[in-house]
Amino acid sequence: MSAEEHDVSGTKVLCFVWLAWFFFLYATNWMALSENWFIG
Amino acid sequence: MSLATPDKNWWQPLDKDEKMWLKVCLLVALGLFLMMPLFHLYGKQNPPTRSYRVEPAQYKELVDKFIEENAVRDEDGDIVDMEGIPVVEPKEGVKDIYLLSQKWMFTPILKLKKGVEYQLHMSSLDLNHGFSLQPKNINFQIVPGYDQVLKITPRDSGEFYIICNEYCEIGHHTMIGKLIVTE
Amino acid sequence: MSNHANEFRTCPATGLKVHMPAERLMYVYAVTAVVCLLLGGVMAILLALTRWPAIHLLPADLFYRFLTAHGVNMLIFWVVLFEMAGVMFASTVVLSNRLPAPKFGWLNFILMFTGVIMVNYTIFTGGADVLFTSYVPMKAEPNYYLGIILFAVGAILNCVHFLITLVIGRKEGYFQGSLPLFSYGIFIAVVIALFTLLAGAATYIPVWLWSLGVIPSIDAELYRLGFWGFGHSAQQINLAAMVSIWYLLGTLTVGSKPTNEKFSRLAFLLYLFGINLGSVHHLLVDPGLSNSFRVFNTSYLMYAATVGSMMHAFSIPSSIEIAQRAKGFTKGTFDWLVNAPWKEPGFSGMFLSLIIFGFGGGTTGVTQGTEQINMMIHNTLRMPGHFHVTVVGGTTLAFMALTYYFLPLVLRKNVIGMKLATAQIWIFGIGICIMSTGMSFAGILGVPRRHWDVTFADAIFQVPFSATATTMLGVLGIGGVMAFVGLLMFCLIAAISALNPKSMPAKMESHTPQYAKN
Repeated sequence: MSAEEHDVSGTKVLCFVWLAWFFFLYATNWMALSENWFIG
Repeated sequence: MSLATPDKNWWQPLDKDEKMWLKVCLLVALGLFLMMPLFHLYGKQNPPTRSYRVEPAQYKELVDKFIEENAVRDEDGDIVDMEGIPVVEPKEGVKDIYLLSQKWMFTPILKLKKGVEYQLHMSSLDLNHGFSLQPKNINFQIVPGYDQVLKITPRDSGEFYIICNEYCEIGHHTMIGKLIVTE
Repeated sequence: MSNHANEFRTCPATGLKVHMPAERLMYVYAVTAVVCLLLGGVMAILLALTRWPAIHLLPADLFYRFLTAHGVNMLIFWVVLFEMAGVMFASTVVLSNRLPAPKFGWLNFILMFTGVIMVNYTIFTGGADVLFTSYVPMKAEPNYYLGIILFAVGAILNCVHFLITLVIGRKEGYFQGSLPLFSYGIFIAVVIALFTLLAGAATYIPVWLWSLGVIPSIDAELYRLGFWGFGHSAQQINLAAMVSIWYLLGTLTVGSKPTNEKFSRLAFLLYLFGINLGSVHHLLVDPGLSNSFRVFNTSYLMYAATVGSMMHAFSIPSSIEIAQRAKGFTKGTFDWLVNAPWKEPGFSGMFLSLIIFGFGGGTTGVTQGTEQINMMIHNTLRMPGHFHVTVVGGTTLAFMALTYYFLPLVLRKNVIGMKLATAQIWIFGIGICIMSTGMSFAGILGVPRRHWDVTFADAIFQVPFSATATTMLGVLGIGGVMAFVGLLMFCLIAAISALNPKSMPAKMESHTPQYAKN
């Protein structure tokens, strides 16, 4: 039953919007770290 | 139906979209995973890893000795203080500097030189405390019984605040210290 | 087993058989949970109004006391009690199974209830101003720790009861084959709960003995490790339960079925194996951990769970999309979503919870859980900014949405005002989002969490936090007020419905095991 193909184009759009948002958040957070005082 | 018993042969191959998304998931996880060791090797900033067990009384002695030897003194030889907290400027070549936290103060007030590398020791005499350097917004946990050593190189001059951001009973919100960086 | 045949009623909507002794237990668990939610909510609004600098309502001592009460009642009592009703539901009603030991069930409830009373009494009489984490060497009165231990023991026994119910039910032939996906997800939650609660017991029992003077001292760092083995893993119970509820609400509101059982079940399995080690990310800026352990812990062990969540995030909307498209909403990309039953609190709650958790909670969690970024967020307001969109905007919202189905289907109570219920879901969800946004941005600017006065008016130095930070604390306050209105609406709707003495009549029907071997 699972082998049949379904149209889930809306879900795909939602998921990739999510991914873009996540990358944005992740990247901006790393960038905020660059100029600081502590080096481990 | 998530409420119904599934078909007996529910172990079915994924369809094309599920396979695609699973690949995306694994790629993302791999990327996040690689970020960790890579940042350790090439990143500019990592949390400290040196820490020692230390008895509070023992640590207090270390701090007292550090203050005695490095305190800023006036003409009479008395230790200069701010709001009753001694001001300490590490002498040339002194790398190990100490910060003591207790309910509800940080001792001493450190006066550091811009661009010089120090080893900052932190421990507590009583409860957990927080080391939150403002407005740089860098935060560490101070745990009694442990001396955590941060490698620190001030890159800006000016006055900074150390605020306690771990709850330490009723006076917690008054616990604040100062850090001065000179050119 | 025919001696139990007359203890069942048939649910008119689903045809499932409900074992009456289980129904009564679920009722008391759910009611106690909502009472704890209300208590935690009243604390929450007082705290929000204190952190809103323009109001600064409470004095310092009450602020920290109510913060303790807020944390314990929300993060432990409300969610765990609700989950206890949930595990009973998943092991009996869903499988048309009987509860094998109702008396044992009541014993567990009484243990947990005693814990709730002891802990709250100790907090409100001023014996435990130690906040939710109660980091040693800060000490509370022994009864505080004992209350939590009793609560945890009751919960452990109830989880054992869940497993016994499944084993006996299958043996007697009430069900056969694989568990339904919802029950499977709850099963995963129960396994996580067992090791979580054992970690809790292993942490709290020594501390209780220490507070009694039996043990001379507890290592402060070791306590932090043990505490988070309990405190963080407890949030993974919520995660597994919440995702199970998303699947369930998808089925109840649009009739969706999991697109691929294997896909969804493997995702749950990743939670089980990956997520427990996430607990250590609370200790990333502590003394005592080596770099290699930090890398090991924060990297792939945590990302195993992330992959699990991402899989669910695909599987759940796609199952809804398929169900909706099958109903004829096939135009364009989002016709299925636009025409979803938004007026039903179950659907609105499920989808809103999914979006808030996915976009807000999950992303911030993965970002803030990396050891370097953790230096910027540790103990700032960004921390509560993160977990209020996971455990409140995610879990609590999903629990609220489920309650509107739990009431009629399981407790036979008519919900008053489904329209009001839908409004409640949106007010609460949006309020939490606003509040978390305020918290997060204040935290980015360095404002600490768990802090009564960030102006440092009584301190020797005053920190000049920017005007933006003050504004963001105001945003926190406004969002908090809105969320509190939503929470009150929920409690009122749930209480008026549940306490209505008139239940829908139980359609008692004899029920014997379908698959009994004889």
